[in-house]
Amino acid sequence: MPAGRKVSIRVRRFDPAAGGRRSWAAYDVDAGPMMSVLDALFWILEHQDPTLAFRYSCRAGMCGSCAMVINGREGLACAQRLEHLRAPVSVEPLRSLPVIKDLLVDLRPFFDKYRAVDPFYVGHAAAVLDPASEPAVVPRGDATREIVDRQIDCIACGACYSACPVVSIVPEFLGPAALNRAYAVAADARDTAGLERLRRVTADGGVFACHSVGNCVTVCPVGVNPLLSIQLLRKGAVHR
Amino acid sequence: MPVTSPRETLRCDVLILGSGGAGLMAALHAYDAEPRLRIVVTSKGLIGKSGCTRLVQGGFNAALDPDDSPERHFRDTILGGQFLNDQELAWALVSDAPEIIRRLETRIGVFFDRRPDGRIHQKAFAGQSFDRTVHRGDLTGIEIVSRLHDQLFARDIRRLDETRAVALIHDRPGGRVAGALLLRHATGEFILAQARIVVLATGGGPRMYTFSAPSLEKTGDGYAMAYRAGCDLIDMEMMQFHPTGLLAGASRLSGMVLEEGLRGAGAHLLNAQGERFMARYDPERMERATRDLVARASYLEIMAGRGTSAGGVLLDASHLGADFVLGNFPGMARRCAEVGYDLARAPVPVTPTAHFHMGGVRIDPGCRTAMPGLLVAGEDAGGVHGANRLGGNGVAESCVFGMRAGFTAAELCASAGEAAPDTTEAEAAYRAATTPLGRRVASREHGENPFAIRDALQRAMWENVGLVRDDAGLRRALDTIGTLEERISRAGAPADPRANLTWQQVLDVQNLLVAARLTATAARYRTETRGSHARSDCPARDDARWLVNIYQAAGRGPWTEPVRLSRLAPGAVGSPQRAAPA
Repeated sequence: MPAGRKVSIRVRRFDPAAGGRRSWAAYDVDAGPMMSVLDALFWILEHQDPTLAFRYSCRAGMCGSCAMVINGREGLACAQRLEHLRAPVSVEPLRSLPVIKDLLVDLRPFFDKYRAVDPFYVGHAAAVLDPASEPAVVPRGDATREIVDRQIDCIACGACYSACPVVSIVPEFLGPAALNRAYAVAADARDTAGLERLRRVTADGGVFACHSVGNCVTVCPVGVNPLLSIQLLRKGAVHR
Repeated sequence: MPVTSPRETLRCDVLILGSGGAGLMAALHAYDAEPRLRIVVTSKGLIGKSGCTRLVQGGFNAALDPDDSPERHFRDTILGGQFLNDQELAWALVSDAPEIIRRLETRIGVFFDRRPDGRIHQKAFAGQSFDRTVHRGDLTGIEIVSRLHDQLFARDIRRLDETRAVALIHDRPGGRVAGALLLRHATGEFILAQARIVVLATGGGPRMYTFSAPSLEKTGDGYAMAYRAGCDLIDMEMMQFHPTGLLAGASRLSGMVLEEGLRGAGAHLLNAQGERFMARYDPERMERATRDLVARASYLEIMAGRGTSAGGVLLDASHLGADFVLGNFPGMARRCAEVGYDLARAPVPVTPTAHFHMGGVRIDPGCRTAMPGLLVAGEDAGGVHGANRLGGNGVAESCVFGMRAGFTAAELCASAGEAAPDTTEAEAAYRAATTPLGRRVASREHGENPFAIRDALQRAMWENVGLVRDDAGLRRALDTIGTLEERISRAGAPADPRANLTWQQVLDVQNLLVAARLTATAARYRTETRGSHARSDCPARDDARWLVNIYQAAGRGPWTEPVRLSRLAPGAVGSPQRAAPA
């Protein structure tokens, strides 16, 4: 794509608190080299519409603030380059989450479910801070750790939650990100809260509600495989 | 939709502004010290996402190895900071760092990379006499902040996401800090929060430059609020430029750092003629010289016409072997690939990028300020790093001083009384913040558009308060800042306060301008070259005159105080003293 080209962007606008209706707004963005969808949204905000709402922070694929649905598929706006996308580029808010305004969604349902799996590590009560001691010795190549290491890369952006068809029809389903976190922490050999957490994720709305569609794997912007975590939890692979 | 003066109020014991490493560590440790405390964490963005600790790539310096020591780490930190550091703060940093690594691993659940024998791996970073940088791949901050965030869910700590602080509020004019005025982004509503202790940990201000590394919402808010509230700020001229910010065309990704471990592992910096130009500037350490030297060398190469057509230099890791680069720097390789560069096999265009503000609010090792009721931690605080920060000491600072602020807050709450925030002061802050609402939003090309004003500030700072400075340029920058202050005071935003990014931008630029003025003023004042502060009109380091810190406070011009060389003096040999002399 040559520099300075105009790229058409269609943005889903919605202002529920003002009683508005969902609509599409079209913009022609001055697309410079390497511009991302997030750059295009800023261009619209700064040049054409000072009321556009969206979420951002790091702009480098590390924080997961700018997940949205781009040309029908979930992704991080900062990590998708206009030159790689079919125009007109359509941008919509994440699905299965309440819209606050335009592309800004309320992530509370997502984090409420994340919280429900007790996502926090529980160390030994007498965890040692003694300077002479060494934190857990875990040899490189430890098979479980190699899986866990990939699954802890989750940035909790909500893309998998939005793309999951079960989430959209089974309101109590915890969703891929929460279950992935449950596996990653339960399979951490250093964690001591394994069994309680397992009861939680094998109850209603847990791993057995998953239909193994695999959209979560397809859309994850950082290469995590939540489906694998769900399958390992189903097999009871974290019993210690 | 009209906004009315702050209706909602909130009372708590500890109010933490910011949710990076410092804010989260403060929250968790205040809670663990005293679980009955009512603790509230606020963040401008989403808690756990917003902030720069998450963006830490390289890692965390800690003297863990038996062959290393806090004394050695201290010496590297002071030499790197060219003796401008507050040595008691630096000592706190190096002596707590190993314990923090243990806490993160055994209590928080962070998992750092291991050596083949299963113990924690430490890698090479620039400017250090020992390989002491603990890391998780090349995206260390994600793991640290994600696990700290998980731990919030294990504790009864109230969270206010997407709620920025607009102003610190005293109990009476000239009194103690008694809370803060908060603004909820989604609803546009204000909250007047009352707290026994406020912890300021909002992060730094390098976004005042054209190329900068921090997340986009970091706009010097903490400096501006502390300055307006009457705090002393120290060494604001000390702005670190990282040598290797990615150049990514017209994208905001430009300026994002390609991590220092690449140079630690042996990557080269080349000019457009293919020369390893560091040979001219630091033939001994080459690319592993400290950030201030490498960034300035790159800048001088570009200024001398030896830069690339994209206006940068080249970072070349290809001779390290594709497998090595992809195996050790997968995050960096992915970032480059996204914009069409192959880090493992070809040079990548980079530019120096504004990265970290060493200056900040004056604190003691317990994070106390001169203002009762206010603690400051992380990048909002100054003095730890002196004139240049070592790579790997930033996240260490956030975690060490975040924990210290949490413990101090818990301790002070035992005795601190409760005082209501002054409603007159809160009302004035509220009125100032809401002034732009409903004014016409001028176009970017004509009139007082906040985005255009931000761009003009970034250009002025980059050109005149950047890697090499002189008096004429600094005066020009201060003139421009004056004009922009005038312009932003007339800027407008749409009337509806809900999720109003244009309004937020006006508030952001107001704060950036406060931080920029402090930076340019101190830079003009320091007539020598030291660390990150280089003056072409005063090119030498001058210990006889300038072994002093520069302070600024509202209503008072800059003044200096001698650095207290309590543990290590320039030219001294041997180990720094373990105990500070009284």
